[in-house]
Amino acid sequence: MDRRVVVTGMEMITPLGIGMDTTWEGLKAGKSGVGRITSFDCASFHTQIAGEIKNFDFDELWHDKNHEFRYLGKHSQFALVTAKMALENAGIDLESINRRRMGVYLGSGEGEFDFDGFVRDIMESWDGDRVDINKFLQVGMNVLNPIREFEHDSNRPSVHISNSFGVYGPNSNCLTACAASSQAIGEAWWTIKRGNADIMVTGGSHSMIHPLGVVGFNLLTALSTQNDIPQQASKPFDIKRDGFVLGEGAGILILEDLEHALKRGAKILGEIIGYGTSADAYRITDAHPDGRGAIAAMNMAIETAGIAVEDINYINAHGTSTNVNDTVETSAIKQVFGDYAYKVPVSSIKSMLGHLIAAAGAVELITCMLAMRDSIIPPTINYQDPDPQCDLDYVPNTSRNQKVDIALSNSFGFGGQNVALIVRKYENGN
Amino acid sequence: MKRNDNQRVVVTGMGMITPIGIGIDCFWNNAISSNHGIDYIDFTDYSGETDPILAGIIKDFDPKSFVAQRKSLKVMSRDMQIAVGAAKLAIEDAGINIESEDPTQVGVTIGAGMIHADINELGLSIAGSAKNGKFDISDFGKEAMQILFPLWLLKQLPNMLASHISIIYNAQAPSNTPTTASSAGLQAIGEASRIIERQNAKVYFCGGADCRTHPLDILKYKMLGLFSEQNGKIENFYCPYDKRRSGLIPGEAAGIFVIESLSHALERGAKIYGEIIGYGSSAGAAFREKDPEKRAFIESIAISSAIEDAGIAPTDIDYISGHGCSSVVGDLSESLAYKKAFGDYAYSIPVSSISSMVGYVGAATGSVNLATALMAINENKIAPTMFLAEPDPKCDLDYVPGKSRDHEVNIALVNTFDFSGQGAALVVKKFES
Repeated sequence: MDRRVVVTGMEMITPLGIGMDTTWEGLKAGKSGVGRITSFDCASFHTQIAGEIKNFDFDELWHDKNHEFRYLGKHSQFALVTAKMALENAGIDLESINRRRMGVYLGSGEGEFDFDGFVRDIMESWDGDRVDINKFLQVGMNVLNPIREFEHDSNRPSVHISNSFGVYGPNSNCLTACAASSQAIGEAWWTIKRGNADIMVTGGSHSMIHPLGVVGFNLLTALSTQNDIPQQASKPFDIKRDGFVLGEGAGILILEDLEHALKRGAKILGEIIGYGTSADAYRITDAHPDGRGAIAAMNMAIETAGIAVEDINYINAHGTSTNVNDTVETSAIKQVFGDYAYKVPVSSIKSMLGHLIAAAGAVELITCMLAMRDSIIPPTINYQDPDPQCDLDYVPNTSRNQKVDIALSNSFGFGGQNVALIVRKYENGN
Repeated sequence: MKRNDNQRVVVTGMGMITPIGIGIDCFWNNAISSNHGIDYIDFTDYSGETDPILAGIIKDFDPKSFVAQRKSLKVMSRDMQIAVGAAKLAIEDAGINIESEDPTQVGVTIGAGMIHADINELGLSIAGSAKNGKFDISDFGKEAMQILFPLWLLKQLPNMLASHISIIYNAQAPSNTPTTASSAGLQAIGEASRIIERQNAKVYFCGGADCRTHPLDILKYKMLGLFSEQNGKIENFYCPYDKRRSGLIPGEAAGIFVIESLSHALERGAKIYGEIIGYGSSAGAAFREKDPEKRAFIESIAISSAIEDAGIAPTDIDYISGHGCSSVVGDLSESLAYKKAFGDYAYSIPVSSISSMVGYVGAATGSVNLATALMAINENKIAPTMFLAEPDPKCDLDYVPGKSRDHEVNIALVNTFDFSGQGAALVVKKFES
């Protein structure tokens, strides 16, 4: 049970770039990846902005024109390309390792609903006030695409990765709303610690930038409607915040048993030392007002890591830019960290990327690893007017040069899902 | 691995809401009496008439008798309602006073499927955005905001099954939602047992709930060629491991278990159905993979890793509660997987499929399979594979056709392997202190 687990590969695709390097350059520079939605006509929607991925050419990035891949959801396309880059980054020779001891655990969201196909089916089967079931089933056979329907499921990216790379070990996908990929990383970490695998491909992939995603979150009044200032709309911890901005993308990490990594001479990027998770058990919509679950998750992560709160040099906040999250998260951090809460830098990269929903946690943990590597903390941009209830050091607007040895990343989701992960720099064999 | 009593995990409660009955007793009586739950889907919410479609249907489920707050019912899809209902039955069966437990030591992990929106409701917002019979997206954004209710999205989120249960019972320990299709429920149970083993919790609600009878599911299975032909008598088209099998019958079910650490169960003097001693999972076959050998190879990895995890020999397994969903490729690859994992011993182990009676119940498959295995352990009786009369020569194992059988079962393997590619296996054992 005392196997140590290190990160030997990582990659991401985000609204700031196809790849970790361009994304990291953007994050350090405090750039926003948010703009007006281009993937559908959004003029009638309350929210018309999102962090969309630009110039993503799957065929060119994946090099496989297999028919099966043509109708993959964005979630699978992002995940496959990111996993391929992460495995290259890890320098793993798939031919030389035991792939029964290599698994996949993702926290991916579902693919995009075939909205156009569904609309055609409804339009032909609508009977004034409801669907004519006979017509719906008959028309559906012609207007819906079987592969698209099949590829809609959230488990598709994890299966595609296992199949494409011949990775046959433990395999799962969890979908715990906005905490999903963090939870996947935590469970993948345990899978290696427990000895059930030597290598795990983990992280997540998601896009909810589609008509039903935007409507669904607008109905919950969760999204920012500052459509006239897309790049300034996501403003975590600022008093003028009015909701989150949707983003899309994927983050994939390669976790490995330390001994296994050392034996193959892998470059070690950092070590995962803590994982905490809990349920609020409060409401399906709102976080517990005292941050009960968030506190429990952070405490559990710190306890499993066997460190003191003062050992943590950086907190990558969930920081969604919704009124409730940012207040409750701030309060929870104060309750866990005490006076030290005012000394530890806390930042939210959702100010730049928007909220990648299921994929957010993976991208944010990779960002923590990059902060450790380069001793640079990415900023919370669009921070102008402080909220008296949010009074921590949010690294406003510009990145900061500061050594980071240990970082904590928070992820919280609808339904009261809470996850905290802790990573530590790996240096000179320690 | 060596586990102490705080790390050993036992099943102490079963809550079933299935096509063959509500409650574990009803479920089991129907299972061993070969009373299947296949019936016609009720399409009365829609207009028009369609050819009848067979599915595994839950009968006489009244959500109001399981959910105290009417307001909560409105935000629950049927998947959520049956999950919440099954959790209530599991608690009652376990005889556990959940209010007196430390809430930070009670967790919820429920496997869930893709939850489709109500097509009448969503259809109304689409039809309302059509002028002169033509859909206009430049109206839809506004129209949908008027027609759909504020919490509409939350009715479709898979983690809401676990979330509702955690709220009702104040369960604050780790909560997760595997979404690996028909392996999701068994993965939830396997993962929950490991969270107890690592001592992050003492008690778990775990299992799966799923409704796969939505019109979009039927379309999907039909378009993919997975749907049974549904001509004539059921046994002519829906018959796991039989040469006449033509595809699946969709179904709906929820099965939630109360599992706890052995020390916790002993402390409160709980009735113990069995011990979870091994778990494994795997994946790797493309959906279009027609080679049953390749699928069997991957499926056998999950099985072998669960047996290895249990620290037993393959020959210690007395019974397999199998996947058998009447899939042309799936039933064959499953049979081959048992031969790979067990060698010649595969021919000596009884294998049966409860899916033959409830249909393809997605994320709940692992739950109905586990309940069948645990009852076999407790009653030394094996539920049959229904409708199997003309064996496929390539599926040549002992599938316990048609009628239940008395058979001593100390250790059982529970298996799921979804056509979409993920597999899971769990090993359960008769409890000995």
